[in-house]
Amino acid sequence: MSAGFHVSKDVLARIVIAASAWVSAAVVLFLFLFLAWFCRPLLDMTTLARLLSWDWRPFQGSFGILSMLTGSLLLAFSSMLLAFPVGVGICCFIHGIGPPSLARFVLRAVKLMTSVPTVVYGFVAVFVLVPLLRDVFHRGSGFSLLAAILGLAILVLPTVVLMLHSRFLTVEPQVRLTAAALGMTSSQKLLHLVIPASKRGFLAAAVLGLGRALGDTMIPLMLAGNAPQVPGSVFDSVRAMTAHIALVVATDSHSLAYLSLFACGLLLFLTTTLVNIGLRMLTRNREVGS
Amino acid sequence: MTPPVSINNLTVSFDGTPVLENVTFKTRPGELTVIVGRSGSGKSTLLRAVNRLNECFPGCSTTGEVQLALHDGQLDVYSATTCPEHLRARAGMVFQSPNILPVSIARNMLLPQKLVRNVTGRSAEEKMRHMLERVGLLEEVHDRLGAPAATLSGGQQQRLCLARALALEPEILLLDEPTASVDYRSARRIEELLLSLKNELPMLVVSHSLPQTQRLADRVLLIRKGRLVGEWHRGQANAEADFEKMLSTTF
Ligand SMILES: Nc1ncnc2c1ncn2[C@@H]1O[C@H](COP(=O)(O)OP(=O)(O)O)[C@@H](O)[C@H]1O
Ligand SMILES: [Mg+2]
Repeated sequence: MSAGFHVSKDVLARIVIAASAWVSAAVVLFLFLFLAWFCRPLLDMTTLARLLSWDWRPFQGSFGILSMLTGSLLLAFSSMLLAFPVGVGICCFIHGIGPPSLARFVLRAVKLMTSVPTVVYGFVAVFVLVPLLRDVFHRGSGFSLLAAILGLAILVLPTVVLMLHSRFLTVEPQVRLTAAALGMTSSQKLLHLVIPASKRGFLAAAVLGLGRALGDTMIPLMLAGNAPQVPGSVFDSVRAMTAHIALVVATDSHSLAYLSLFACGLLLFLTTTLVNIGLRMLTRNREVGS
Repeated sequence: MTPPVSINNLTVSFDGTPVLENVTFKTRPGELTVIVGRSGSGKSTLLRAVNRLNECFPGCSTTGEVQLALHDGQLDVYSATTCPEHLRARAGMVFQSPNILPVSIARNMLLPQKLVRNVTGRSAEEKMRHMLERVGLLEEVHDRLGAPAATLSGGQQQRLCLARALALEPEILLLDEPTASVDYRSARRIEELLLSLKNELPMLVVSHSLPQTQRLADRVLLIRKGRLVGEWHRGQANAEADFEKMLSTTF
């Protein structure tokens, strides 16, 4: 191969990468502008007040989406509270805590989990998890906040594991030989060298996991029961903003109900962005502090 | 007297290609052994065979025997019952290019002591200061022990690595071209330290320089294409002439 070929390939790669970066930025900006544009009618104060209320009773003219916002946040944060530590544990198991053969098997299983369509998780949960919850707790139908939290936790688990895994994969080779030469065991290496150097991996896992949990539609739609209310316990039914959009699109068209969808979309967008920025600031502060 | 290191018929291959073949030698207590040879001849692989570090690379297979004389008796390095972590904790190693851990200077010294020797607190700190002093680094870093080790110069990093290895109180020290990537003053400092240590600590030193070999070696092993092709000893007849004859082809 000639040197010229290498150079042109390099330049081509750069153009492609730069182009895709600009395209993604443009798409995000377009989405935001699109949502903001359609939310314009909301800017009138009375409409805004009607949307930002706790009541969703479209036939009586109440189109409040705050309970959906609560539902989304509760679902996303609770499921991450569950999935994050479990995911970290699984990733540590893969990277030196567990026996190598079992670790390889677990990694393969986690990768397989990413290729299962969400609706399949929902479907299985409807027939296994929901009846189980109903029979164990005897509280309502089983379609509840708890069912959706468990379902979402399973859904975002591979995201958490694989994000961390990819960070560990870049950090571990940098310390592998040194740790080994000093006589450290692989679990010591993991706990004292790899994990402390993987802060960005933990951040990425949290951001992407939360984003996935906030954005998922199928699991809340199929498992949470979809009652537009603020739940009193984990056994109560909730409705997520995503599920709300799906439900209203499927049933209603020209009304303020429809308009509430754009508000939900914008809120989802803003929540994900805020979560992203917030976590980034949190970790930045911690890095400065230490 | 039992030889500190005795290697018998050692063969190391990567992906089926032999890199070291039938290497056999013994070292003597109180002697500093220097390994020389062209780049790619297998010197690093030989050192890494002593602490089984070759096993960290894929496709490596090792046959033959390596015995180390430790305080609590002979250690058969490749025996099935030998735990690699235990072996490596006893056999310290300094790499060709400084392999600092991506943490602070102090933590580079303290973490291995804690994890490998279970030494913490005061005694670990004292050991750290003592060893940094011995490698001539304490004066340069005493006011910034909490700074990342990566902020040190190459020569300082290499001395840190040496201090870190020594703080673990190894019973044998493996040094792979320890002065190849350091400044002149650091190099001389390291050489002086090695000479002062040789009576208490058996050492295998790979060297890239003829004058350094002259200054350090009581015994020289010449490796060529994975085979041990020459051995020189300070006490032998015609030592000086033979030294030049043997090494003229290498450097
Ligand atoms: N991890 C490895 N995988 C494959 N080949 C290796 C590996 N390490 C060393 N070698 C090969 O073994 C030979 C000797 O390498 P090395 O021991 O590093 O030589 P030296 O230290 O004398 O320069 C070289 O040809 C090198 O390519
Ligand atoms: Mg080498």
